[in-house]
Amino acid sequence: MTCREFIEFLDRYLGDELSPAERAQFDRHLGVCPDCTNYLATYQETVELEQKALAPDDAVPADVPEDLVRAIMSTIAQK
Amino acid sequence: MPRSARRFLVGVSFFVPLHPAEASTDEYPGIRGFSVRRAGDKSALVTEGLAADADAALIAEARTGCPRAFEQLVRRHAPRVHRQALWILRNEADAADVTQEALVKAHQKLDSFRGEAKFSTWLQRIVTNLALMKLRSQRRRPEASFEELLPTFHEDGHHTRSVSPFKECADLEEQVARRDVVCRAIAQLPANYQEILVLRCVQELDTQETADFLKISTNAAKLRLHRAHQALRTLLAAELGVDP
Ligand SMILES: [Zn+2]
Repeated sequence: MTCREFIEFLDRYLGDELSPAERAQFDRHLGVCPDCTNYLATYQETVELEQKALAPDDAVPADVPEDLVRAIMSTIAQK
Repeated sequence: MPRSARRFLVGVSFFVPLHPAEASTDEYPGIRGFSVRRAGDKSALVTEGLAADADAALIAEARTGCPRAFEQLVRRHAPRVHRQALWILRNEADAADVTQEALVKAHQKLDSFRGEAKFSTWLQRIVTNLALMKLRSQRRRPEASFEELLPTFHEDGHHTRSVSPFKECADLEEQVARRDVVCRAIAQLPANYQEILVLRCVQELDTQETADFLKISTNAAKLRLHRAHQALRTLLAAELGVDP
């Protein structure tokens, strides 16, 4: 297996969509390739960071200031 | 609270929950995502159901052109919309602008809201897209082409450049800075790659739902998502990678 193949199918590897034989090939490649090992780790970190950056949270914030509500309503009224 | 965290909280004071019992996460306002979430209890689900019914009634009324009904929707949802804008933009003035823009847009597009997602989720997607657009407009460096952000290989299939790990993230201040880097990097991605990340992370669609929404095959959705992750990894490596 080459690095190119490893990276191309990395999402399938992480999504557990490979056959046991294919999986074993990936694991063997990881055993001998520090670049792909680092790639795998940083790819997974990237996915986690995306989630942290974008996912809305469940905390209940306090009300927004009255003037913001008024600004929104007056913009709508003008349209 | 460490000074760094306090500095970050300037301008978000009105997001302190009114009653401690209302807070669903253990965290400082504005630095969520780095804290443990509590599992929702049954009463929270009941409340959520009632809230969805109330939204549906208000949306129906607002569609008939009733400004009072839309104002109620604004009062119910603007706090979370604003919180998401502030989370991404980290600037009070920009967050207020984008909150206003998002709710005005929601009003214009109210007829296209079909209720497959919760109204709050639909709003979060609108505000996230607008906040990322705002970040994109503030960027300083010229844009790299998307192809340049994908990994490259020699003819024999090996990486052309060695791959380094990301730096360890030492403290809260670094986590906050890192999140900022991530938001700005996402904002740099071409629109269709940004969109698929927003659908997955904000609207929490799975692969099949994402493919249906975008009207593409599941394989195309998987490939687009994989390429988005790869491109973002490259952008992050430039900022977070250890020196080779
Ligand atoms: Zn490799």
